[in-house]
Amino acid sequence: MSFSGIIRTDVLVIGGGAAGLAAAAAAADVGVRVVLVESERLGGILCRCIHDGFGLTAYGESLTGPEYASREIVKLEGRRNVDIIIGTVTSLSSALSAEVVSEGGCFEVRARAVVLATGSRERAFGSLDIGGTRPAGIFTAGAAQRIVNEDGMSVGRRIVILGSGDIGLIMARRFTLEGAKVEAVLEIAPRPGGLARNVAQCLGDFRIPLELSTTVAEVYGYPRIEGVVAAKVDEDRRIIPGTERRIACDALVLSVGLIPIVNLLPGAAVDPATGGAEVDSRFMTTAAGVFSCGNALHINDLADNVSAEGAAAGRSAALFAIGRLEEADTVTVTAGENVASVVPRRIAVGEEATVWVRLKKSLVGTLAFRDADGYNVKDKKGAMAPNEMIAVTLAPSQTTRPLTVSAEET
Amino acid sequence: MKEFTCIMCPRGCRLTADSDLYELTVSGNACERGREYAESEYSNPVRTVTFNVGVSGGERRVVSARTARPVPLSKVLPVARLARRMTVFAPVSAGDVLFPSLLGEKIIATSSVAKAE
Repeated sequence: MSFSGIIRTDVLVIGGGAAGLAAAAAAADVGVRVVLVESERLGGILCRCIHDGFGLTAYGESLTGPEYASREIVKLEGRRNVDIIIGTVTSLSSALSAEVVSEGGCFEVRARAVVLATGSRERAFGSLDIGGTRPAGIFTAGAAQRIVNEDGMSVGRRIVILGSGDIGLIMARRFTLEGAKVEAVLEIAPRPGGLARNVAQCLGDFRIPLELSTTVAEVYGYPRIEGVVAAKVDEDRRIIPGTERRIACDALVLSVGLIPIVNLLPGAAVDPATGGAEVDSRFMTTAAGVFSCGNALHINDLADNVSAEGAAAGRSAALFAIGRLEEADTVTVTAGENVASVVPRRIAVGEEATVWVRLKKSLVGTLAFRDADGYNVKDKKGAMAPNEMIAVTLAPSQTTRPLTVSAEET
Repeated sequence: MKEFTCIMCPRGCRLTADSDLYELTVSGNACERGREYAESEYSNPVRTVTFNVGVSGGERRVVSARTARPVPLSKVLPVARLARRMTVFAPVSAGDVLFPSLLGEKIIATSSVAKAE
């Protein structure tokens, strides 16, 4: 099939990963016309996540990434109101016109609503302030995952991993199963970045050392990396002199954080706390008709949650496209004590809303939503940590006043 | 005696499990889920193993695969390291049984690889 000129649709979904697939299916369920543009493969990053642990919430079983993706893709098959285009969206205007480049040529998609499900990118070596040489053999965890899992090649035999984000932990296990030796996982923070499950099952099972409050001060070797200089850091993440030690390796893999991709946001506000678009409880950004979900909105821990967000955003977008998303007054939700970020930042008054909260530190206590008078509107008690996002659903009666969410230690 | 960090919730309790001939005792857990986790990790830890298997004549070099059931932890490395040396012929469909008994474990494809054109 080849396209040229202009394609008109109700909803344009940009991105065919977990978020975009769910958004397209939910929009199609409303009965509107949907165009989904995916730049590589339907399933997105799920295709390279060959490990299991997906779908525990959505399907009640532990699926691998490709299996989870295929269950989501099946929901779009045979739908006459969904078109899938493999191509790249190069720009999106606030009038909701997108330029698409594909093998079939360049064309324009004009939509009544757009869902940005573009996912995230990885923080790269260049942003880390690491000294030494600039050799070959340094990979981000996602790139390594692609090379090993999708292309069936190896990145090295002796590997050091910097950062303990989930992808780094997962890859530590993958490298080990592939016969490589993971010398160490170094984490600059005093606690692991990834889920406890991954620390236990990816590192603990294989006795891979996790060194906290430790970073890479320097890499050495050229043209190929020969090793890193690891060093302890103090509370302000400054290297403690005298703690440096060399670890020989032929690959350094970085798992140091994900950043939402917001390049296509047409002039809408970005929340500095998440790096993603600022949205209301219907997932609409500050640009009318532009919705955001999944890792493009904020970095999630679980694909199941990404799918749930995608479905909600897709449904909202479809209703907006046909003029059935009534405008509503909103109340703000503000991050208070110990809270790093909160999504959404605005809630439609008197509507049920799920709020996702990420903490600044681990604590056992209460996460409380309070109004301006300090009245506790809704709370959640228990053990909470920054590496596990907290979801709280507010009832319609609880979304009538501005709220501040804070985590209080007991 | 074995020690674990509980993964059932973000609290991350430090669990200790120990047994004599008659009884398995767990300590350090804040709740019942922690006890159950420590008991299963102590007596019979199991994992689903996921890995790639080589593909000959396919449009991709490898196909992702898994064990059909969770296997004992001690079998994880042997299964994965043997599987990566195996090759199957394209086409492969997700759900295909690639090997009926690799070290006694059934191996199933988790994605599809078409024949190379």
